[in-house]
Amino acid sequence: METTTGRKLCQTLNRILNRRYNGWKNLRLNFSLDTGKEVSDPPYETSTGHTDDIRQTDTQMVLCHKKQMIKDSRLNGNFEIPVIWSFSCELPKPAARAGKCLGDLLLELLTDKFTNLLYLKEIDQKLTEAEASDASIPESNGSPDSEDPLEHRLKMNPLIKYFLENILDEKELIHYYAEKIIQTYRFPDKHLLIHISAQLYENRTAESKMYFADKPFALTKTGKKYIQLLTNTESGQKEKEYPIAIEYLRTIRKLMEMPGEGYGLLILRKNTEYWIDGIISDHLIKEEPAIEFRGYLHWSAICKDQELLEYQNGDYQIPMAVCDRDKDGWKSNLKKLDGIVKDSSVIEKTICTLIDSHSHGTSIVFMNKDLLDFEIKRLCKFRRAYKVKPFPIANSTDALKGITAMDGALMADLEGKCHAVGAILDGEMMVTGHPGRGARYNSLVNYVHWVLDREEHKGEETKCDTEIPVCFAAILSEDKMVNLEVPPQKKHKVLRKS
Amino acid sequence: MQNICRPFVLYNDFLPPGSEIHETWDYLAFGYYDGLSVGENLFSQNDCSFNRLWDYEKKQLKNLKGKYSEKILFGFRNEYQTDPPCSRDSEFWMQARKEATAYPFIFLTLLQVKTTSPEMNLQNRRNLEDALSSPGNMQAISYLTLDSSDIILILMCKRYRDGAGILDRFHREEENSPLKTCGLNLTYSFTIAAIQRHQLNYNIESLASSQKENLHKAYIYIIEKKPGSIDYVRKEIGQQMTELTAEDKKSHLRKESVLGCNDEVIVIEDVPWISFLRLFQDQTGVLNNSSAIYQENLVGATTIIALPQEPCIRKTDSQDNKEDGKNITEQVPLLSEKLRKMIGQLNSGNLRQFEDLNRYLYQITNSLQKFEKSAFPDYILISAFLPLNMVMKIAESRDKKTEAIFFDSFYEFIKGLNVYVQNATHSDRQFTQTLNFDIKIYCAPVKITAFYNAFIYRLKRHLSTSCTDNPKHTYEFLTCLGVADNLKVLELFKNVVDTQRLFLVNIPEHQAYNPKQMLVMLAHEVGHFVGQTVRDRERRLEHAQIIMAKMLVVYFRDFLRHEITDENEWQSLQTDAFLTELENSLAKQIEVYLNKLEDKEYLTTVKFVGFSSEEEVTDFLRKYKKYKTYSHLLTVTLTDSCVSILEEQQELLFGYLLEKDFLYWLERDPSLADHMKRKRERGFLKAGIELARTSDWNRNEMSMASISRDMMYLFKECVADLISIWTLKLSMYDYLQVLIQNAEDQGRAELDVLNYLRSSMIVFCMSYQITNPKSPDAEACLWSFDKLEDDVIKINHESRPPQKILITETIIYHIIDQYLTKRSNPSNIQSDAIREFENQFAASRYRVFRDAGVLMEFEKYLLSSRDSLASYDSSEDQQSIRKIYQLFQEENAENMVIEIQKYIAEYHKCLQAEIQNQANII
Repeated sequence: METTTGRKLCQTLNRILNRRYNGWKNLRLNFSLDTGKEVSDPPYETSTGHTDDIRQTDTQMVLCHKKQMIKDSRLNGNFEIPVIWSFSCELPKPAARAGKCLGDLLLELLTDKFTNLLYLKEIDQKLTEAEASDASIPESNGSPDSEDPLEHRLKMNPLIKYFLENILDEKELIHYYAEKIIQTYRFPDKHLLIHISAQLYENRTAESKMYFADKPFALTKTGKKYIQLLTNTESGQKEKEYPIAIEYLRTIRKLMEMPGEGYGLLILRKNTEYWIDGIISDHLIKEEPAIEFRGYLHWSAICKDQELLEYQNGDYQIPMAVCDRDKDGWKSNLKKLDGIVKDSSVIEKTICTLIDSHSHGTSIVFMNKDLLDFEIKRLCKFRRAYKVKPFPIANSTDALKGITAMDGALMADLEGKCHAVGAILDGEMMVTGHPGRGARYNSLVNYVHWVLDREEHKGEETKCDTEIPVCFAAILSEDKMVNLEVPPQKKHKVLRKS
Repeated sequence: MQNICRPFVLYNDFLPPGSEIHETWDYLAFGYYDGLSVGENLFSQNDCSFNRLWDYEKKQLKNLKGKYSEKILFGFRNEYQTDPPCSRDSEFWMQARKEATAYPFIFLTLLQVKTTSPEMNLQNRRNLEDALSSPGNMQAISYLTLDSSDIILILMCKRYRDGAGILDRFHREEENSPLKTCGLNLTYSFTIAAIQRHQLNYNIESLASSQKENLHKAYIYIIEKKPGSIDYVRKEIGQQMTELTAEDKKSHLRKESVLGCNDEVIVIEDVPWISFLRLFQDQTGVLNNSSAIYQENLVGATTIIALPQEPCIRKTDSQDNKEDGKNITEQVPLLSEKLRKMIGQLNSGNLRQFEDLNRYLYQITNSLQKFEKSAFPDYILISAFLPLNMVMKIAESRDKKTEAIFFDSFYEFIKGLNVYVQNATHSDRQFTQTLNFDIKIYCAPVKITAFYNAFIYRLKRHLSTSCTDNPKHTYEFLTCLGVADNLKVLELFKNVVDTQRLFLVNIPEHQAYNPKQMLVMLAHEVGHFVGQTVRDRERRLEHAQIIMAKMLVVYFRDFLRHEITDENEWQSLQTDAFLTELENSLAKQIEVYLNKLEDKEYLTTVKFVGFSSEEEVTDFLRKYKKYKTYSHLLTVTLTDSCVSILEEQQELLFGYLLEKDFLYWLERDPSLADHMKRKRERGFLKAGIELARTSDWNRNEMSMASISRDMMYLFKECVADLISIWTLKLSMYDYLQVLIQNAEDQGRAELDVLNYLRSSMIVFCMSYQITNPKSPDAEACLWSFDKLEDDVIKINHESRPPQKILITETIIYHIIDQYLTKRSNPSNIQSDAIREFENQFAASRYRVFRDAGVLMEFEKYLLSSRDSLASYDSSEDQQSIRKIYQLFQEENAENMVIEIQKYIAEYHKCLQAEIQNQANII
């Protein structure tokens, strides 16, 4: 039997996953016939798929695999054959459990959908067609959520969408992941956890830990490190008196105040019932899974010192999966610079430097030299920018810390050299605003569109030479979001002023 | 040259006879028969078909009114151009029929002559006729016959004594007897003497006066109606003999008592002919059935005329009592004696049935023994020896399991043998005096049956020795004429002993008169059972599996075309590729499932076959393994396997299309994907159920059973056709004629779709070039498709109403053109016949055959069978068979009869040798 079925699928998913989870390396999904041999990938350290076997190294090679008897309805097929899916990636050791969970989840989603080799073959074909397709990429409307064009094309295909939606849709996948963590470690429903994290006590947000176990600790061994609650009535039951349930939020929140530093609440569980048993020292129970509440609408699921899941302000995160630098997917927009700038890696490096150096929000506008000179001159005329001697941003992390603290945008050329700082940008309204974002974001997006539009329609009045105008911006928000806004380049008339 | 076939009708009054005057009888006969008539020539210059004999018999039977019986003898001769313008035959009968004929007496003699080769050529007989003829006194004419006799000799005489005297010299073997002089040695003769009725009733004086002397003696054997009524008759006889005095009457007329079926005999001696002849005149003659006296007093009267004997010189021949150089009386081992010993040694088994069996076997053996070395030539009964010998061998080999089958078949054998031997009890043999209820189921001449026996013998010998891998198998055929509406071959003792196979061949009498058709049909029927290498069941099984798969694909293609009407969807699903793969899967699965039937575990746990013991299982498996390629079992197992496959392997077979369709709808309209998948699944399920269902209400509907049955029908019939065509070297025209005639005989106006397919495949096969001929004759046997094309195109251009054969050719041509050849420019002849055929084809249960792949797979098998046949062309039996068939293409009646007689004689020689061989085997 030929073994290329599924190869395209894995290639495509690997590409998508590696782009998405750029905090981890070499994410690799694989599909092959099950020959009965042990699945391994030397020379890396491997695990057998059990979390207990993860070794202690700085980086960890996580490997999951899943065997499946798959139907083979292809022409000349073999009715049913054994196959094996595997997932591997190289990731920081503290993320190993999360990586394993993600791997298991991906394999589950794939094996659930791909129950027939014929499906794999069809999907391979569709993926190949999608890649080769000349379908134009829908124009970005300025949405910061603009996705990879390939991913977008893939989702447009109903067949691919049916099989891969859960993986292609990033939000969908993360929700599945969150659900998997909750189920695997038998935490209470995540919505309850969200509610708890939002509950204030005396205007204070929750900052505490909950450890989950199936049975209470023996007090004789624990000594002072475990304080057990008793029932208030003789015939009472703790599960009824101290339940972890939506109706008892206030009680729960109150009791969460009890553990201090180095302690957490011990939550016992039986089936779907959870109740508070007492306060326990971290040392006694660090092997058990826990929820760490870190503030308002902020909590993490952890186990054995490894973070499994982080929830913050409505979003779930897989720990260390996404490089902070590209949390918001701005890097995918760098492709739009192809043919516009000579070297987009310079731009990328410049933006990354800014990410590393800023603690407050900041922004940077890139332009071609002539346009840049024109704009700086225009803005400086009205004292809306400070012209500086051009310096490369990429190597100036320390210097930028202060500069970026100043209000206003940086203005740089396409080689990544800063020519002006503190620019207060203007411009007529060109694009629809994003009400969910702040002034910095909205004004920068509007500015770059306005500049290019002006260059196109008001070419006779510009002082530009024959260079094609280029203008785009990176916005680094206060809440750590990073966006790269690259408007479509427009044609324009260029006149040389005498 | 003129072909003559003249019917001679012998009448026999029932006892007691009717009172009507026998107006239609030409002659009043003396002796066993009561009357004689001579019909007109049945043949014409260019037509000497035996069918005319059959038509004549039918016409005669219609006119019988239940008062008397008839026996018709047919005499054959040719008249050549050198004869006088008015041929001897017509001249003879013109003279005989004159009201004032000079020859009132007629003697019809049936002669059997002893000769090593039946070379009774025309010249010998002509010489005899010339030697016996004396214008004014006697005329003679002779005919060949297909009855037990060799020659019918007719003498018409002026005087009774002349004719009777000549014939007396024959059987006294006088040295100068005209027979001997003409080179014919008599072994047996039977003569019917008769007198022309018109002369008797209207010209008795002249007739009597020409006799010159008195009647020597006549014996009149009487059965009286009531005791003593003969006295009155004798008295009346005396009164009618007015020429005699009272004294004369006392001495010349007396009665004597006899025993047996007659009551008394009246002896009339030395009386004038007129006195004697007056007794036989219509209404007045006492011994004529129409007279009141006869009706009141007699049941029956038989008159024997005696002549005084004159001395003759007889030559003694030392070779007389030798046959083939051996003394006839020499003791040689008889097969019948050996059979008697075998009967005595048979194991008893089921006691009561065995007693019956024993009794029948002794009876038959005893009856047949006299014919094993009979002095009287026998054409029929000797052929019963080998089948009986086979029955004995089978009886010896029977065991408990086969006992029931054996007895069933044995009773069928007895019935068949009974019918078979009826043909031997014709009145031209010596008869017994016992009055019997003689229904006479059929009347065909014995040589016709003997001829067919000879033909079957040669054919089965050729097919069982040349065309088989296992010459140890022995085949015997027993032909039963008359008791069938169509030619049928029934195997007796089936599966009791594989190496001994006995068949009853039931031939409808009317078809027996058409040897040209009958030879083709017999070759076809024998070909069904003999000729292993041609049939090659293993190879047939391989092709059958593939064809079944292909036909199921045709069925499902039609089904899918109905379901998937959008061509884009069809292409998108790669439906054609799927159907190709389906065919491969089905073929493999059919093979798997057929093999599963050899697995005990499968039979008991999946098929739930209930076996009562381990022995039964073993026996079943043994039989299945042995007979699984045989058509009767294969038809059932193929059906069963295909039904099981469709029930159990839906996913394997249709999984691709169902899933592909699901994906198609996912992409097109996801909301419909699940629904469409379920719909397709239900559709396939329903299609499979429809196919597996057999309705007792409408057995003409297509079903798995009908597909399997029809396929096996084509296999069997086409191979049998090929054997028939090749062994006889039939032309396409002859083949189609027989096919059409057969359909008509079965009440169909034209061929049905299945038989059109059958004939088309045969025509294609026979037109296809042989790639490696081993015989120079092989190419010569082939047909020409170009000629067929020419015929068909010609019909269509001429716009004349086509005959049935041409319609058949047109449709055959169309089928070959459409489905079997891959011509780049098909002729696309359109005609109503073709349109009508295609409509029927598309709507009938045979529509799964409407596929080039299916038909070509059949052809592969047939071409291989044909080439196998071609490799045995050089066999002597093959050449002989072809030669005898060619005989019936010529229009020469006398030559035909002579060759038939020769063929029978050769057959008898072979038979005698084989019987002797069997007798010698200890």
